[in-house]
Amino acid sequence: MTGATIPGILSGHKTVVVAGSGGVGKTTVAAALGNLAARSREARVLVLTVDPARRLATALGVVGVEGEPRLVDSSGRGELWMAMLDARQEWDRLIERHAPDKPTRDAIMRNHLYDSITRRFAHSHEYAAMERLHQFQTSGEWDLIVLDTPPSRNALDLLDAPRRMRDFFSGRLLGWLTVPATSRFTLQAFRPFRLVADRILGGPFIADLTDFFVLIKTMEKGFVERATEVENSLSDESTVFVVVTTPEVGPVEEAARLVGELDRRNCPTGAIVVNRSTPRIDGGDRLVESPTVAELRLFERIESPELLARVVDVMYDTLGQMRHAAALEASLLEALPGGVPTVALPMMQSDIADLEGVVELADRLAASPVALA
Amino acid sequence: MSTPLGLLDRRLLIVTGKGGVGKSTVSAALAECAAARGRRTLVCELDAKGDLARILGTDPVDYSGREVRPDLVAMTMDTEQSLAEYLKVQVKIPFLGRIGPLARVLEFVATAAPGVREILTIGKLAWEARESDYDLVIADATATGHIVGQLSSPAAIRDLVRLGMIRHQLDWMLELLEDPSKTSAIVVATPEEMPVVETMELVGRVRDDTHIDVGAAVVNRVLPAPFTAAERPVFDTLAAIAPEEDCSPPGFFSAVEATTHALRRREVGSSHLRRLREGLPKGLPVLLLPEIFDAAATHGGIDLIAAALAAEANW
Ligand SMILES: Nc1ncnc2c1ncn2[C@@H]1O[C@H](COP(=O)(O)OP(=O)(O)OP(=O)(O)O)[C@@H](O)[C@H]1O
Ligand SMILES: Nc1ncnc2c1ncn2[C@@H]1O[C@H](COP(=O)(O)OP(=O)(O)O)[C@@H](O)[C@H]1O
Ligand SMILES: [Mg+2]
Ligand SMILES: [Mg+2]
Repeated sequence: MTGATIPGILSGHKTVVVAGSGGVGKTTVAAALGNLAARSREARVLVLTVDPARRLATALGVVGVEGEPRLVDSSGRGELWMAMLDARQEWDRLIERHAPDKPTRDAIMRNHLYDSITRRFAHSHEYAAMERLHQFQTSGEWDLIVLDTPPSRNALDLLDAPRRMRDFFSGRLLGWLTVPATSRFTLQAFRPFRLVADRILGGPFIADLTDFFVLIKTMEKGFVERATEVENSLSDESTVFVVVTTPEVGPVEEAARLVGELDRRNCPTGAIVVNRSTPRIDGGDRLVESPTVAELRLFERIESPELLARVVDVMYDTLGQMRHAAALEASLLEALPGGVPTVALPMMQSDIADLEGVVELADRLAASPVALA
Repeated sequence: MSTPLGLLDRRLLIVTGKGGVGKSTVSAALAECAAARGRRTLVCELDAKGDLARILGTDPVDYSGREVRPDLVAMTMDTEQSLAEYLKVQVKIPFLGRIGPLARVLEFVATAAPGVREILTIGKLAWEARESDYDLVIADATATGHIVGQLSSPAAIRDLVRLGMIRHQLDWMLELLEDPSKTSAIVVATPEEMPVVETMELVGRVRDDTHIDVGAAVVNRVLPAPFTAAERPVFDTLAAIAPEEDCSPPGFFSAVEATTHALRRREVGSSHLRRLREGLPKGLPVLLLPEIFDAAATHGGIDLIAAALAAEANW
């Protein structure tokens, strides 16, 4: 993998999944990767994003058109499109697709449990993201799709979402719950559970729940097949993962775990991006003592020597702190798995709130040396 | 400004905020402050990541909890154990062993019935705050996306479940949660764009969707001002020296560059902080905690933060 560059990784794949723990800059890096791809070759590039920072989303014009791709930049050789994901809307689409008939579909969408279940269904956002990605992949309209993943406690939730969906349908409890309580098929073993549930939650609530899952069960086949397809597309060789982290303990640990887990599932990590690194100050790598007042005599334009000495002390302290932070960061990064190309992106002086900021970050991505962690 | 904030006199404090902003750090600091002032305190990490114990400088803690300092007990939430405890203590189920592997049942029921996990979490906290001999229970809660669902779960379930013994339990739970002299949420942010936006939204949603009091906003990792008003112009003069007229000591221009970067980051942070202050309800206390350089590497970081918190809140 030596010689791997970010542009190289981008041109060698059709799907780039950007993963990592929350707040590290996944959305920003996804936009920068998309920008880099779209300006360097004639390609239609789609960045599929979730919860972008408000100012960035507004600046790029993707607010209010959730779910539909929107052209955000065509000044390069290719086109950069962006779509914002809306989990609830994806669930409606899923029901639409898999419901056996219109009455079932309407009954599900009208059920008062539908709303809270799709919003809270374990990992419903992750599944929705996977599902939408698959739709765009199979549409044939895109040369490259960059998927920005939803914020989750555990970045692996994303990979597990399709399997969880299958497990949910194949679980015995769903079977039990969807058999009427009076049926002679109700398993003996399920009776105590039912009694407890009735006692704590009350019979009517359990009945509501049962009604809802009887409806959901009609879609089992479609859901399970689909989940398998979505899962397979992740380990396809045209898909690559880019793992984003910041040089902090928690995110680095998460990134290392993620890379290891991806490896176990035969999904290659193309690169690790260490975002928001302390910038390297040129010539700042020598240890320098703050100069003495005598050395400072040359700055004659400052009247008060005490004031001057204090300011210079602060400046050299700040430099020392930055250098110390950079060294600390470097030692933290040793926890990253070896053999994966790693790129550092500096903490910029201000937030990345518009296309200009994205372009600047993309420039850095293209120019940063790639090291093997 | 001189009256101490009454947060430590509550029974239950729920600390929330965007991922990574310092919820566990602030929970630990609050707990240290309370315990040091003689309140018997339970601090509970809800998401079982183990950060809380690490920050407190102690071995991992589990659901049963452990006294890590005098008057300070730390524990980790586990909804499966909370369910088992509930069934045993409250429902007095004689055939607990026969309802099968509890983990699987819970996994399924929690997926199916909205709010089950949430209620098991909030229920345990409320129960400890009401029934145990703790003066104060502090919850190191989950990130913003989930918290409103968690906080509103008792009310939501009360609307869904028309019968069943859980109704009575919900009544006393809500009484505790919705009394601002007993329960407050504390929202943590950092002076950055996303955390600030999420915090303003969250405070609005807690007010609109729950009846739970927001007691304070804590802004963590505020960069200290490097220069006084008198020093700043001196730096500006120095920064204007061009490398061509270089007659400066070694490292001078690197120091200028580093300081310029730090000043710029601080300005960006200050503008986010201003926006947060403007966007929060009037009268909501905003407590600032400094960035501790090297906090993760040097233990004792939490003592510094607890001291800063106590100074800000006037405890
Ligand atoms: N005031 C501070 N100065 C320096 N570093 C800090 C400060 N507060 C928190 N940190 C660091 O920031 C990181 C995240 O803090 P913490 O674990 O408390 O956040 P959290 O909100 O609980 O995160 P999560 O959402 O993942 O639970 C930790 O590495 C911690 O050491
Ligand atoms: N290299 C960087 N320098 C400065 N700010 C950054 C950088 N990368 C990201 N940010 C800022 O950090 C915030 C969070 O980034 P975002 O991409 O939304 O994170 P995530 O998608 O992982 O939650 C945004 O305000 C963004 O502008
Ligand atoms: Mg994001
Ligand atoms: Mg935490």
